[in-house]
Formats: sequence, C-alpha cells, structure tokens
Amino acid sequence: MNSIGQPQINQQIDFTGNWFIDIGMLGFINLMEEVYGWNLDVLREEIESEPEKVYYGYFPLAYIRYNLMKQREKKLNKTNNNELPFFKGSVDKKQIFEESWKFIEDNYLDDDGRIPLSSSNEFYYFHNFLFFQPKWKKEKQKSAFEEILGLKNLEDDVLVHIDKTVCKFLPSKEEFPNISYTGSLITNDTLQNIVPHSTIFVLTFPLGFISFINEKDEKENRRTMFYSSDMKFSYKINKKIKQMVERSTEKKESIFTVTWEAIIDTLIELKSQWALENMYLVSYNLTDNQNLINVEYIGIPKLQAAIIMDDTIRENLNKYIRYSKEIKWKWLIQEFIKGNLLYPTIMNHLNLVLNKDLELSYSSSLYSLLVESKILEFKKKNEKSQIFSPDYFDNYKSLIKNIKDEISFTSFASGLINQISESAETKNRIARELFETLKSNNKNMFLNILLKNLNGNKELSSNRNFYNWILKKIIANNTSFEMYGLILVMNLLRRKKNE
Amino acid sequence: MNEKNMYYWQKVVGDRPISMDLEDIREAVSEGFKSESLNYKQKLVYNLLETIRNNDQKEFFYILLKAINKPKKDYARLLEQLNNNYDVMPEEAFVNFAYTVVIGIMATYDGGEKNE
Repeated sequence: MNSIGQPQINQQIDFTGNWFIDIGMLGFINLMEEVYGWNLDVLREEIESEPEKVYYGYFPLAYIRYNLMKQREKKLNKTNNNELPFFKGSVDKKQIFEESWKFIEDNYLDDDGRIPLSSSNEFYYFHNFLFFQPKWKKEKQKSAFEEILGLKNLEDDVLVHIDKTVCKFLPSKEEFPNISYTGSLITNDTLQNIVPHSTIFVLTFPLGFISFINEKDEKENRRTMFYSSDMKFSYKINKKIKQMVERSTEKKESIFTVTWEAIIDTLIELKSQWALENMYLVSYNLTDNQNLINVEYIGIPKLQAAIIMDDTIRENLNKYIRYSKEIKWKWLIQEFIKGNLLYPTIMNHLNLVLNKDLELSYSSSLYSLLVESKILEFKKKNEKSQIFSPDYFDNYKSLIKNIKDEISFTSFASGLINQISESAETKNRIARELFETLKSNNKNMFLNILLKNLNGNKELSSNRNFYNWILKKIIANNTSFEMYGLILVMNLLRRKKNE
Repeated sequence: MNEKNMYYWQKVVGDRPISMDLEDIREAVSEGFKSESLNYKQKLVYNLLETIRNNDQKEFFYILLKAINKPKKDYARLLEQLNNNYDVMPEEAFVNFAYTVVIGIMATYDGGEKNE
C-alpha cells in the first residue's frame, strides 16, 4: 500500500465513499469494458502501468465511440481493436490526447465538421450539455474535452460548479438549500483535489446504470444500479443484474428480486461482509425536461445483512413460498430484507396447507419464524441500549448463534407434539383449532386447547423437554409466543403428510 | 414490597425477564402434586383449564386451594409460592401464572402413585 502523496495512489481507481463519484467510476469501468473489452482487473493493470494513456487517450476515444455505437446500433462494434491508436512511447498528457483526438477526427468526423455525438439513450442525462449540442463544431467539442480532462482551464460555467446540470440528483447551483449566500460549494476544483479525474466520472455517471424498459408504460422505465461501498462487489453485482435482465425478457421480475438474486450469487463468491452492510439501489427516470421521477434508494439494514451472511439461514430463507390461493409466491429473503414481517406470510402459507391445497415448506417456515422471534426478542432486550451496542460492532454474532441454537432446540422439542395422537385426523383437528386461536392472537385459548388435548396423554405431558419448551417459549414468552405456537401447528401438519 | 408480587405489576409496564419465577412456581407445583393419582390430577387440570379460559381468577384459586388444603408436607413449598404470588392480577399475568401451575401438575403425570 502506498502512503498518501505518492503518485501511484492518485492514479489507481477505487471507490471513494461518495456515491455519485463512485457510480461515475462504475460507469467508467463499464465504458472501458464495453469498448475495449477490458474487465476490472485488466483496467486496473492498465491504469497502474500507464495512467495517462487510459485517461487522456483511451477514455475520450471510448466515450465518443460508445456514443456513436449506441446510435448506429453497434455497427462500429466490429471494428478491430488493432485499428485503435496505441499512443506509442508518449507519456505527455497533451500529446496523448492530441493523438487520440486526431484518431477521432479521422474516423468519426461528419460532413458538417462535427463529431456527431448525440444525447439519446443513457446520454439523455446530458441533453444539450457541452459537446452534445448540435451546433458545436469539432473545435468547441475538442476544447470541452480538454477542459474535462483538466488539460485546460475551465471556461464553461457549467463545469465550475457541480450541480443539477451535471448531476441530476443534486439541486441547481442557486437552489442549494443551506448555502443561501454562496451557491454550491461543490466546485470542480474541490472535487479534483479530493478525487483526481472526477470530472471524467461525472461524464460517465449515467453509464453506471442498467436500463429497465417497460414497454407498456414509459413512466415505468427506469435506470437502476446497485451501489455498495466495495467497488469489486458492486461491479460484479451490476454485471450479473445486467445479464439477468437481458435473459429474462418475458418474465418481468422486479428490480429488487433480480438484484437480490445477483447479490446472493455474488455473496457466495466474494464473502465481502462489510460491503453487504452498505448497499443501496439507486434508480432514476427522467422526464422530457430532465426532471427526475422515481428516485429510490433502498438501504439494507445491517442486522438483516448480518443474518443472511450465515449460509444455513440464507439457504433456508432463499425460497419462494406460496401464500394465497391464487398462485402467488413470496420470496422470503426479499421480505426479510425489506423488513417485512415473515409471520403473516407463514400464517397464510399454513392456512393453505390446512386446507390441503399444498405441501408444507417446513424448514423455510421454521427458519423464518425463529429468525423473526429471535430478532424481536433481541430488539426488546436492547430497547433501552444504544444503537451502536457491542452487538452492532460484533456483527450480531451472538444473535446468529442464538438463532441457530434455537432452531435445533425448537425443532426437537416442538416435534414431540406428534406424540399427541396416532391419528392424522385428530392431529389435523387440533392443528386447525390451534391455528384459529393464533389468528386472533389469543394466547389463553391457544394454551387452553393445547393443554386440554394434552391432558389425556400422560407420556407427552410429563415429557420434561416438552413441558419445559412450552413453559419457556409459550407461557413465559410475551413477545413472540405466536411464532412458537405456529411451529407447533406446523409440526402437527408435518407428520400428517407422511402418514 | 415483596419482590415477587412486584413482578406481575411490572410485567404490565416493564420488561423484567420472567422465566425464572415461573420455573420456581412450576417446580413447587410439581413437588406438591407428585404423589397424587393420575385420574385425580387429570380431572383437576380439566377444571382449572375451564376457569383460566374464562379468566375466572376467584374460581381458579378456589379450586387450587381446595386441592392443596391437605396436611401434606409436599405442599409446603407451593403454599409458600402462593403466599408470595397471590394477588389480583391483570389477565396477561394471570394466564401465564395459571398455565404454569397447570403445566406443573401435568409434568407429574407419569410419577403419581396409584392410590385410587
């Protein structure tokens, strides 16, 4: 690792923690990959060995080429990479850029003396911005590029302040709410000092997004990207989402679902837990006058993230479960991450099972209920303590251990209920009665029915494991008794299927 | 003020863990009823369950006290527990307490002497 101030560290590309610069970086990576076929590792090598060539030579060329490729339906795509200039031997920024620009003019100049850049598709984000303007000829276009690359002092006002003109997620210069007397303090200079080449990343920002087209409703079109603070993690996941979106043209899955499938896949590969704790989905959609509609940031709470890091828990929650008579499915992990309660879903699922409509998903239901009950218990216990408790910094390890212990204890103890009767019919009847009391959340009736049915069974009612479990998990439990109650019902139904 | 009485009222507003107390009660009940006959206990449990169901605290304690109103040493600990815990309770607390008593009796089903 280099110490700060050494030149190499300034050149290497990595996330900064500022999401709009980071998304621009991702866009930059996507761009280079699309045009030159470099993946992240190759790009990093290139930047390490010859940063000037990448930023001043390959980048402007790639940007223009990509824009033209998009317009001409990938006609240019077939051009062989060998035809591209190599910027042999030169290390001078200006010289590299000149060489690159010469190549651009030689190849892409149109009859009007203009590089035919267009602000369609994702470039709509920069509608009428600098060199996209139809009136700008090659000289002006070149000069704008020089400004962006920092080869020339900034002349265009739009680049001095980073505001709504270049980043739609920001207010305009005058509107910055808390700085009434100066205008935006985020100037290009400031940014460049913190993140070199950040103006480039401002330009590549829209390329970091994946577009979801909804043919029926244009308003539902949106560009979305997955953002976490780990570059490699974000890069891989976005790549996967893109593949999935391209693959699933008929089946319109929600962005959230697709993203999560990608995340779960990548998780297994990368194991980058700290990134998992800082994840966002950023979506935007522009109207005709470039206003933002539908901006969304979806953060994933650290608690939920920590829990799904556990392989067994994740596997069991990573299932679709049927929850209503119409064939409707819910993806448990998605509900979990959104912070929705799983109990009602499992309840609906059991209702269907009771009516003999389908098979019980036992282990997924068991995990869902126990994870939820343990979280409730945990939250209750820590109600008065601070948010940043030792558990927070420990990634909730003790909670996860607790959940797993509970699962083995409860699945054994609650399974004993099967001894209540030999007959599947009786068990079904009891299950139904218990289920009804849970619906109205009536603990008194639940216990009453349970114990009345147990009363005739001398072995089971005096089974130490069983009565201790009931005492601890149902009677003495005022936070989550209904979840344990439901587990009993599940066990009564579970055996039934085998008989 | 008595610690154990306090808990029921705290339960309504506060969050003290309760399992230890209930466990004590459960053990005292089991100890008391360990040598009664199975039939007797099953019938008793049935009657108790009926009263809990209606949240009839008066009847519950009436039946329970009648049952343990015997010159037996077994009941000493249970009587002490009742002495500490008896109160007019909010329903939530009563339900927890009463079912603990029932579970305590049921836990002795396999060990009772066949003296009937």
